[in-house]
Amino acid sequence: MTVILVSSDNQDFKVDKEVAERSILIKNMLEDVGESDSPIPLPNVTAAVLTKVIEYCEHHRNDPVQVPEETDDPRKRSNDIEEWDMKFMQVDHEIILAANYLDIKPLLDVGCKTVANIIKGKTPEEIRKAFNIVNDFTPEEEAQIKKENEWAEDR
Amino acid sequence: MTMTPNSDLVLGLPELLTQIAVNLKPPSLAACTRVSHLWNKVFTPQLWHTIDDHRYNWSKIADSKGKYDRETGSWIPISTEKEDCTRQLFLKFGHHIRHLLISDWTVAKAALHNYRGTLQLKSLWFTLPMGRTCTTVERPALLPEDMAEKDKEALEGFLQPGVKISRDFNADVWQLVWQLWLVIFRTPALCNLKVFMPASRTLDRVLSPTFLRRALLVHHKTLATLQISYRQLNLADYMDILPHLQHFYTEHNPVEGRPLEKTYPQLRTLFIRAHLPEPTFFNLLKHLPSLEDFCVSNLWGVPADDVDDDADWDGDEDSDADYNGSVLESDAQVSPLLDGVPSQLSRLHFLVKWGSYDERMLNVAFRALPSVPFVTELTIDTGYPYLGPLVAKYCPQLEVLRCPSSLCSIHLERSEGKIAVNGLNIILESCPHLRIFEAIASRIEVSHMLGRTWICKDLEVFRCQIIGFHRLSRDEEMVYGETVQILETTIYELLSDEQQRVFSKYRQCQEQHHQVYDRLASMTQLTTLELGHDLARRRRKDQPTVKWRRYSQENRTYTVDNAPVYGAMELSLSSGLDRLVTLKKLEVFGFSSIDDRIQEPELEWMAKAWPRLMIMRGLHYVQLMAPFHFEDPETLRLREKMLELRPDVRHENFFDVAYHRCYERLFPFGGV
Repeated sequence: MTVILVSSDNQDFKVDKEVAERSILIKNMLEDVGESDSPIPLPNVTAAVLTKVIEYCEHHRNDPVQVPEETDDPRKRSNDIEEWDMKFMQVDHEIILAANYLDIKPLLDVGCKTVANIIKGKTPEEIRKAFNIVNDFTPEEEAQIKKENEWAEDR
Repeated sequence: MTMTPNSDLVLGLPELLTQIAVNLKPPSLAACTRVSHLWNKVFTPQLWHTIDDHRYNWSKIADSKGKYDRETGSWIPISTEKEDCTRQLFLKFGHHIRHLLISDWTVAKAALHNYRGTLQLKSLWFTLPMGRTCTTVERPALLPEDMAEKDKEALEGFLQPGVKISRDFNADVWQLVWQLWLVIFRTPALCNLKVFMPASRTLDRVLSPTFLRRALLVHHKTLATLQISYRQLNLADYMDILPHLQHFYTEHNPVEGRPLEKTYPQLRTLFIRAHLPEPTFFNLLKHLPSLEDFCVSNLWGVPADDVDDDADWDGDEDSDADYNGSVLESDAQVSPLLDGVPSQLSRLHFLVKWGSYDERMLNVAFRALPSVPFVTELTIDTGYPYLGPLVAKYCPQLEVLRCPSSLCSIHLERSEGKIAVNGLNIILESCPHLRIFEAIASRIEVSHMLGRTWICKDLEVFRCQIIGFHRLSRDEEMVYGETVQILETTIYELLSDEQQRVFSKYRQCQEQHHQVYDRLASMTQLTTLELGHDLARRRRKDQPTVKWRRYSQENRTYTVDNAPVYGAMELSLSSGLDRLVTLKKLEVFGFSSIDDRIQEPELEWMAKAWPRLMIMRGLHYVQLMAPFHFEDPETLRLREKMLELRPDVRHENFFDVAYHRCYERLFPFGGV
């Protein structure tokens, strides 16, 4: 069975239901609507991004559905990213926004891990530069925070 | 990832930033807090989410140990300024903490001082700080006069009747203890609690069981992990008070004198760092049917006379196949103590404390193996020779074998224990799911290894000595060098007998090395390959003569950690090292103390061929007794070369990490 997804720029995508349901948003919408051929509008996702998201869902169509875990324990954190996913994420991180909107947890996780890997080992200034962020701290404020968080530096 | 203008969108949404933060460790989180006001707001709670004063820079910040003044020969006390600063930090940020792991004096005082700031805690791991201010807490002090009345009420009945109270003895230690129990009382939903005093008897002597029951009852709906050593309550008591308890860690036999009589299906982890009689071990297995992880420090129960002294420790060919010791005879069936029902246990660990090396106890441990056919992970001190056949027979599902002892050197004369030769190879032949094979204190002979097929194709970690290689002696190497030159102008038949013999031996060496390289190269999932090990830094009271290899030159004594061991593997490119190019996932490569012949070309090859390499053991710095001893200049030169090629690769000693890593993994927050 297939469903039709419509991107924000009005492009139709015919997708296997099983693939589309990797998105919890779409899965819930399909459950609410019941058996229907009506296309599903996705006003927050452009065709270019939706193509990539569908590619991801196709690749992971047979993965077990992720059970929400207690992520409170920092020791369980792993920054490993599968090779395919790593290449996939080298495109654009509009995908992160789409994954968030479409509620595709594994894709969102990969996206966030990718950003985290960029942040690792960088100074605040390097992070600002990498992400084009304006420093809105006064030098005194920044010095104060640095002092308070001195404990977190590597020995 | 390419950065686009949409960066602003992603990195401006707090919920997405929070998702990113869970993938970062404190040093990166701290950097993020200084990026912008928005980032500071999002990342600060994540930074303070888990505080573990063992880690990062807490020791410098808190400086609990004070400083030793050599001139006066006394300790300079902890600065009150630092205490105040640490306290201010916890007052400001303590409400973000969910997991608090403390053992530092200043941090503990600061964190527990304001218990109202810790009400959101889910985990509290408290180890009473050691040090000059805290040698004993056996005699409690009076409650502080300025303590609030409701706090005094909460602590009512803390002490056992008859315990003597001192007016000023260790008052500051006791203040910390009172504060700890107040936090335990006031925190409504603790999931994980560890309370550890330096001497296990301390709590036993002073704490009343009624009070402890009352304190634990506060958390009866939530507490899932408990680590405590208190003999006046036993495992059945804890399970009855805490119906959701899943993980229990203790330092003594938790059912001493009172075996379990009913089953507790909720317990999944039981770690006992104490000697345990064999019947108790089976009593626990029988009454804890959902147990997944079981660790005991030692088992005992066999009279010394029954120990089989014929167990084969030397390297006879096929010794494992012929082995027929008492262990195998007595383990023919699942223990009758289990009513014939095998345990569902998946991870079993036997850790022997250093200095308590005792085969007798391990014989009992091995008798447990037939009762645990579903075990996938086994930790056992040393790779005893009969471990191999037993595992192969009873634990076919094994995925992880860890023999963390590092007491045995590749230099036999320096070893402190007996080395199992070939005994463990059968595990590689019999357990198809084996991923981790950590047995650096064991050996496999090349001829034995090549005569058998390994069926574990997904091996990720291989730590074992491979020995018995054909190698040319130094003299033969010279003859071989000359022979190669001669062969440029003449034919093989015109060589002398000696030259022909050496030439032929060289061919044999090459062939054997290639076969071993090919075997290792087929293990493409390997992340760790460790073939050598030494005891260079190992010292024991009863073995003060453990020596490093030394040589003298120009009035200096050099210490060589990787002194050549005859018969170990050569790791030169000419021997075929480049056949290991398939090991693209390799992160750790160890070759301590083997006659590796690694030089610049080999280092250059490794630097390029193994992009994920992080740790190298073989060129590391060995702590020496300066100023009398100096590091071997050759090792230093090669290490510097490797640092130049790959500054990201660390050079460390296996001994530094082996046992401790295993111990830390099993007891992640320190000793029970």
